[in-house]
Amino acid sequence: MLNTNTLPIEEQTKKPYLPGDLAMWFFILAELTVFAIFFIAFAITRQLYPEMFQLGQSYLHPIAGAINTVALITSSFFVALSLNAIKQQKNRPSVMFMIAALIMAMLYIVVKFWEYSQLFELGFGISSNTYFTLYFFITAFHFMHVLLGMVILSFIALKAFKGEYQNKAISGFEAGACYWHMVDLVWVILFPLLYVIH
Amino acid sequence: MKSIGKLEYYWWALIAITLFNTFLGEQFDSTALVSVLVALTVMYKGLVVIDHFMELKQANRPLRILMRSYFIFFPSMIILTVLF
Repeated sequence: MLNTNTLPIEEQTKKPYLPGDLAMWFFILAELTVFAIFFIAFAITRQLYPEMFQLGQSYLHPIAGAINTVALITSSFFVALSLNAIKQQKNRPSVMFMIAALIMAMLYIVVKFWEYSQLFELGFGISSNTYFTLYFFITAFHFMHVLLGMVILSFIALKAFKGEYQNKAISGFEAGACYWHMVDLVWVILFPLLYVIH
Repeated sequence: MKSIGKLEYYWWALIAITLFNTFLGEQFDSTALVSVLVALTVMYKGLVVIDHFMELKQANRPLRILMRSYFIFFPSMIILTVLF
């Protein structure tokens, strides 16, 4: 058996690195579980009503879905760059990257509003049929997460602007960044589920 | 800490995959092959974001396994639904 007392003290005390804090990770895993239930519900209902789902999907705009996917992935990329910059104590580039991330998130909001307005003009709403109930419920739930994420990113950008992430105390920054990546991850599954796979 | 060059490479890869998926969805009626291709690319995109954007590759191992399992499970379910 390995006697751990013979290991150097740094090795004995070394813990696996966790970006952000544990509470945020519990929150992220809980959110992913809720979305998992929606994905399963959507997939099962699609099996039950294939014609309704195919017809409903024909009213969606795959290009709008693709623009939103590119917007969220790019936003996530900018957040990763922003985190990189703050780790090097470069506040100004970090704030600039975070603003770029927020602009991309805003693009998502605008496109999603346009998509909703197009569907409303065609007379579709949350109570039109099972397909649109699930479509509006899942996308609106995700939309709320994007809005919350934007609030968190704005708060982080403001703190970075004031220089409050000094001396490597960036756990809050990392937690907010991980939340935003989670929002992106959910859309990575939603995009093909809603727009691509018929 | 990631070098910007590496992150940029993954970003370009994710964008290219998104455009490829859109092209598949627009140009082809959904066949089993298209759905399997899309599911595999979704799996890859998820794993890239988890490992390189969330920086879990060198981080907490159980958390990384949990997150990666999510992106292995759901695309696999898409493939199973198509095949059976």
